[in-house]
Amino acid sequence: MITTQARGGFEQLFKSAIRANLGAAPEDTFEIEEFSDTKKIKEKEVLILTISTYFFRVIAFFYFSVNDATKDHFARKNRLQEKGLDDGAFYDAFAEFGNICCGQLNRELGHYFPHLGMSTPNVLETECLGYMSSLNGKHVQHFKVVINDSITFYAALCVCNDDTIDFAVRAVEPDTSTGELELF
Amino acid sequence: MFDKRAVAYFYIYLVEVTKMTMSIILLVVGFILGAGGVGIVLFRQKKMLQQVIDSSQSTIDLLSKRATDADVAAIEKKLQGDIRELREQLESQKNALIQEKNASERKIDQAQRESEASIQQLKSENDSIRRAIAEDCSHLGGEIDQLLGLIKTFERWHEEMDDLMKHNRVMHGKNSEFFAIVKNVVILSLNAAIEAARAGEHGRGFAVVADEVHTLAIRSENLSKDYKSNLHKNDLITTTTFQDIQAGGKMIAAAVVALVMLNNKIKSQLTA
Repeated sequence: MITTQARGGFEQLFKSAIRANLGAAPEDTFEIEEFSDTKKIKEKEVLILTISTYFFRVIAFFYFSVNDATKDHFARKNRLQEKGLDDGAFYDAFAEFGNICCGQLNRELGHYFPHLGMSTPNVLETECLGYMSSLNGKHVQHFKVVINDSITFYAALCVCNDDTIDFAVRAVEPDTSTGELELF
Repeated sequence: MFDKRAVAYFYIYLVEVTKMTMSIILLVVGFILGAGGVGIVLFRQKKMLQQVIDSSQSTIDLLSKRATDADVAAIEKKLQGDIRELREQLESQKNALIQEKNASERKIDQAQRESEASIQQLKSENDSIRRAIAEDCSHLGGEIDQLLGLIKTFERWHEEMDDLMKHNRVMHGKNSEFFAIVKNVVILSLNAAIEAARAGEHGRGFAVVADEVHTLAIRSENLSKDYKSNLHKNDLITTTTFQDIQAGGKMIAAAVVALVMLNNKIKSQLTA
């Protein structure tokens, strides 16, 4: 069971992590809303990361297509002078975004759950997510992220658990650390 | 001869001085010995002083009644006797108190020696316990270091997972190839059916074969689609399961590292 406030907490922390890490510039505007019509997602691939605790796991999905618009956005985000990235560099940049975004979610959840670990990212075809129900997620949410009213990304959160999850997000000092020590 | 009134005042003065001296001595002794012994002494002294006061009072009464020389002499003698007796009692009690004080000091010395011995013994026991715990900490540190070897296990799982994912991608590729072939077979079977129809009566047998091939190709196509779906499902389950194992491994490794730090902290505190 996941309590209502815990569901709200996951949503708040996930949105906050996206908002903090997906923008290319501080002045970028974000519109993040829950999105239920997943058949409208036309992105070809999805980046997957998992955060695990003893009692549950949170799987984060970031949909993407390798096209000029997204490549330009990540080029701008990475302060590259030349327009666009080659495909390899784009995959690396997108994986790094997923890593940092989930790293923030991991640290925020660490305020409520003492032991957490985070996986490295993997990329799958979007068709794989047609079988998301096989993960037995108890809390699944999709989000549509529109940046500067022009670029659209989709992301999803799936929480799988057996025990009850309950926590209330509280205001904390912004974490200025650069990330956790990777053991792999 | 002294004036009678002067003598009387002198005796009163003596009595008062004696009372004051007694009080001072009692106060001092009372501080030294504490409440128990002093209480008894005070009680006795109070009784004795009361006698002296009563005696003085009777003397004053006599003087005030214009006592004769003989009366004064008798009083003087009596008072001298009282003073002597008081001095003797005072001396005797002083000696008793000194003895009591010496005995108490001896007891205190004894208790102090015993306490010091106990403290020394406790300190020694504490030192051996600290040494034993420090040794246990060292042993625990060694065990934890070995446990950290599980990171190697996670690395091995990581490599195996990568191999598995590569294998899945190969299967995706082969299935795509198989699907393309099946598509061609479907087209080929349709062409064969058309050619069989053109051949008329002679092509009737061939038409049956073409139809059978078409049916098989359609079944193969469906099978390939089903296989593709299963591969996608397999990709998702395998990836998320592996990521859960990987993240869980990091979680355990972090917990073990925290144990190492805690163990080192305890050890340094014990050996400080």
